[in-house]
Amino acid sequence: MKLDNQTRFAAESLAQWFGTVYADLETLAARMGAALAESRRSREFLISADLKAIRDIATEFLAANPTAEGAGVILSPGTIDATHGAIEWWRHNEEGTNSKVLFNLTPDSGSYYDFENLPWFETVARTRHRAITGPYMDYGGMDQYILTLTVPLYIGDDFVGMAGCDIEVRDLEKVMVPMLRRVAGDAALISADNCVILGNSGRFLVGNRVRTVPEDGGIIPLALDDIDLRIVYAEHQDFV
Amino acid sequence: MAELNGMRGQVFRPLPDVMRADAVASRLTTAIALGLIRQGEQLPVENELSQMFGVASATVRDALATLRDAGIIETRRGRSGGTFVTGTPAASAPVLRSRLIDLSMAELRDLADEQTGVAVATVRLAYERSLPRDIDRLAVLATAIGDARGLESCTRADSKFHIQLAALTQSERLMQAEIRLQSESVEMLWSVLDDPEDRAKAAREHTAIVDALRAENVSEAEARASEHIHRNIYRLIDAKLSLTYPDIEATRA
Repeated sequence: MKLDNQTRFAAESLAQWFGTVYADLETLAARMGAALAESRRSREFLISADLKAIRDIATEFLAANPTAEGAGVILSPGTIDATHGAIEWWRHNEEGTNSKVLFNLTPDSGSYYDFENLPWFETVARTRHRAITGPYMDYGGMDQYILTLTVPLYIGDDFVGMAGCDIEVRDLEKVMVPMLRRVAGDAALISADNCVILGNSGRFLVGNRVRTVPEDGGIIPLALDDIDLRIVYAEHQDFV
Repeated sequence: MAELNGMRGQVFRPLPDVMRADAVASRLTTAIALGLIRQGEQLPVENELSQMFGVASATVRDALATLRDAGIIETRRGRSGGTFVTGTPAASAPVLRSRLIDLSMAELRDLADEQTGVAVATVRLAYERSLPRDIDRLAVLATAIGDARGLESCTRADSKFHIQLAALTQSERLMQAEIRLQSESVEMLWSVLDDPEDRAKAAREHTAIVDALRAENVSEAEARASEHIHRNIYRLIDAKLSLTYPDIEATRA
């Protein structure tokens, strides 16, 4: 099998994996939207009692997606009161149960997490589509090297924020290296910004930008709605 | 503070004694593994160690007991008594390989990132502060890896060059950082590199750094040092992937 065929095959497996996670996230968003709508009724703003249902739904998602490090919802500024939003985020912890991640949402304080300016929030708020962000160091959030997958969240027809999950880069390796290793050359999953998410050798290091398309290879996109991910591939090259 | 997330909330817990004893034991083990404290050498007495490490005597005793159990040190009684280094920490290739399998590629890259950061600063300050005679000595250490045989000897030859280079910065912090980085990486590296060509390459790369320093070409020295680290991490990732996914490897051949 030629390199481009092997890469196309790997692209299909990877797209299938991401497609399943996004479908799960959209189910998560739909269930949370319904739960929030039922609890909020005709009130203008959400109150903390409305958010209680989120825990169980997020916990179920984490149980079904062991690769995810954390999951939950982000409610846009203006949903809790005129200016505030909220982050209801749950993570796997060492004991195998889930714990809530606390974020500093007080502006002007040292470790303020200005989430509405972060790409994973901003992109979905602007496009109302699925988004993938990273790999990045989530300083002030999970404080880990992660990817964040987000999908829009609605109450009825109102866009109120997003549902999403974080995946640690090291955990993604376990799932995806076997798929990428089936390419008998150097191959890497790269983001829309051409940053390496995961490579199958030391040639493409996670986080590095791929600046040119290799002459002895190419780029094959993953077939995913609204998500721009690709695989770059080339003949295997030893470190010279 | 209530708003801090779980991870950072953990930071400010007091350190348990067990952790301190482990830290002391691991500091000593590293020093012995890298050959900074040699076979037969006598360790300072308990009181001195407790002052040097800034921990209680009981903590030092716990740490020494760990090393004694591992056969690394021996305590003799009597007039010529004391605690002596009698063995080397067991760095068996299988243990090192399983450590490599546990590390993700992202973590290996991060290790190389820190090594590169330290190496670039090291080369720059070595250029500022070293004298021709320092460079002569470094040149000898640079090629030692070429003649080394076996895991232990390669580990020492390689780390000795890098730690001596860091010593030329005259910065204790940089040297400590280099010692820590060596202890995390060098044994693992030589557990997977067993080709004579790898040793010859390492010697050439060390020498290229020394030559650039001798020529006072600091940007060349930085580039050679970064490239040396880059190649090592490339090989480590390669080895990690082959060890972790051997069945899939077969289809690549």
